[in-house]
Amino acid sequence: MRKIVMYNMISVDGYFAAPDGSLDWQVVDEEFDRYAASTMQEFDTVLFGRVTYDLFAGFWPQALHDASVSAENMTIARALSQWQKIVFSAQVFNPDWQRTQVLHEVNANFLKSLKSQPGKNIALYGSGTIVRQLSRFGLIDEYRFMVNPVILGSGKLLFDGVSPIKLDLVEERAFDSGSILLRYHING
Amino acid sequence: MGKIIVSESITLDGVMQSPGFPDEDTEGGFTYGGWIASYWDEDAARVTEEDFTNAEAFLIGRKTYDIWAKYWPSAPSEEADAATFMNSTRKYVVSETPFEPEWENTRLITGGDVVEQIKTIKTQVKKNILVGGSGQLVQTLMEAGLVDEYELMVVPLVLGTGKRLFREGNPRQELELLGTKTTKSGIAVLTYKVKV
Repeated sequence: MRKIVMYNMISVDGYFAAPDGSLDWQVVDEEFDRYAASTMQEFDTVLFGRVTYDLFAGFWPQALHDASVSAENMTIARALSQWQKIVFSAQVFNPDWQRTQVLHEVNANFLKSLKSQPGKNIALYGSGTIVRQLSRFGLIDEYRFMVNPVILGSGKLLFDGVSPIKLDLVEERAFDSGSILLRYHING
Repeated sequence: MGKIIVSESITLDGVMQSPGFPDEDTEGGFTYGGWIASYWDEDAARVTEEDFTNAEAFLIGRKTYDIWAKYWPSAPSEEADAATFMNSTRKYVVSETPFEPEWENTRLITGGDVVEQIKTIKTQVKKNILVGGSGQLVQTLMEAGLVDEYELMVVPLVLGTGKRLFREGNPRQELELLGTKTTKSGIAVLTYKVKV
């Protein structure tokens, strides 16, 4: 059974997004890039909400043809272009990025059958709204948080209104930047 | 100069309400009280012991005072060491309305400029001033820039509801990571210094 692995950058006060959507609080340095690149081999599929998809689609396809990007970012750009990309979007749109499938709503049965198909694990980056919905369905198997060393003060919360989720801490790793990776498996 | 250390047990989604007992704080219809019990372990207790060793006083809000003052003077014998410390250590209690504190070694902070009074206490104290619970007081301290360090004991549990330690509308604050620990039951202990 493939696992759905959520990954999010959060602040110490638990926000995944600043009120204005700015990303200046997220520490992205070489050590972070090395870590991110090292996780690429785990996956062959990625789920997105529309906002995160647009962010990714606006950056990674070009990075693939940019000679100045680091080796780590090239690894990420190659992986993302190869993976099957599934976007949940209420509005119809024509994605330019290759291997993108647009679905109009989150469908638990679709995701269950996706998980039962052979393949590598399924990543879920950012996409707070989708995280909340999938958490409600109990469809996320692993939660990875990169806790950035900042109190944002206000912003958007990941778990507002979900039912309780019991987890097992499987990894806690401090980065030189002061970010901490917390990795949890769903309990039971 | 004493350092103000906000030391809190929170869930992964930042909930700090009613960790110890079901009836500790049911405000807002909160029914998950007592969530810390199944995670509290020897390693977590050791973190608290260390905090006590370095502390000279507690700074707490009125609601936390009421909970602690009811519990610690007659705490069960297996908690004798902690109880001795809690009872014998100076407690500064911030309360909007004056009251007669019955718990020993309690000093009231009430009326006038609370922030100024806390600043004065900081200059009088040499070791650490521990803040626990006290959700409302923590917001006051954050707004006034009076928090020196955070020690967060993050329990591997999402509740989805309840009073959060960090409420909407606090000032943005850059932090420096001082250390991390993992307890046997999966509590992530994160310590941060507030950057000035």
